[in-house]
Amino acid sequence: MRFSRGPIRNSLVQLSRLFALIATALLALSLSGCRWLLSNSGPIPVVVAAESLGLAWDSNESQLPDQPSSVDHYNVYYRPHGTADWRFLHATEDDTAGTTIVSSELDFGSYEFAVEVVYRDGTTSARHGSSDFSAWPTGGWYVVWQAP
Amino acid sequence: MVRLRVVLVSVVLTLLIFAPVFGQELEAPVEEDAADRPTVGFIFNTSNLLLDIDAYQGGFGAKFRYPESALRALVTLGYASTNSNLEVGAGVTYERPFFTGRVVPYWGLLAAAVVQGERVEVDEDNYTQTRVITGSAGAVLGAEVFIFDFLSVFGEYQLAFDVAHTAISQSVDGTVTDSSSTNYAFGAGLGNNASIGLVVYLRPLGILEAESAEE
Repeated sequence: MRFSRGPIRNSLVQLSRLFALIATALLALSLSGCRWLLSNSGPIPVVVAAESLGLAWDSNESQLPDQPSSVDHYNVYYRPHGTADWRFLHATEDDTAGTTIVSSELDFGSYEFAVEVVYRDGTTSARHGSSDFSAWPTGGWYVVWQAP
Repeated sequence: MVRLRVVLVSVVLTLLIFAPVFGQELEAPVEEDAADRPTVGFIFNTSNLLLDIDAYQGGFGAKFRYPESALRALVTLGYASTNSNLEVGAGVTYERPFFTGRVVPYWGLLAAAVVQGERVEVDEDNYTQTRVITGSAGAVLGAEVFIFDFLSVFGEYQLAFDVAHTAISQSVDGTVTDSSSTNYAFGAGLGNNASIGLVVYLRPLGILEAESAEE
């Protein structure tokens, strides 16, 4: 295997310059306030006017079936929009990546939701919330749930 | 699907075991005058070491390897009539290797943009229309490992800045409400959609051959 110090040093210099450039740009972005970018940020409201609402998410099913790391079910959590603490809502009956919430178990209002995976060995994943940047729609959302 | 995976794994294992035996027959001769031309390869994602092949970041990926750099291109395109879900995206990653050989560590720059649209309609007075424009820029640090001269796997870390502009137009009984939001995320993590990339080059690169000659 060829091992040349010159190109590595040059590459490292270029790499450090690149990171310095990115850090400077981000610092400038933060200091300027970047008003055009942040003037209208945060999770986007999704209005639902119905007796029930459906949630769906991407499954992270194991490639090999019936393993301890296979999905057993999901736990669904909610919190009023703008609050910090998650409250348990219900668990799904099986590994179906979706659930329906009816008005008899939750009052109408503005909510964020989150799900966590419960694996067959009893361990759980980190919660993924509707207000996370990686949710769909990208950037996050919350539900404004109204009576029909 | 399981059968297909078993067949694929069998083929790859067979190649891994017997390639040294009949390697000369498998590999085409490297062209002498091809040094300056890019070697083109197709990129796939594999979610695990069983080489369960998937589309590269959900789209079509190609790699153009030059003598001292490489360029990865990604194009995504999709449409579903059930919810009028449309996705169009393009991305490019420029790579600079620290050194070349069987293992090629590299750093690079990436830029990508994706436009997504979706319309869920109950009737013409009740619908939700969503449009999302996402842009990404950042740097990558990774390594490409050549299994053969025409086949490599790679994994990489990513330091990226993502901006997403989301606009939702909702109509409830004919009353339309529009809302929009712009959010950004910045951070380091696994790039390449947190999976292993697999590159099949259309022309042998001669890297392993050169390495054997040096030894």
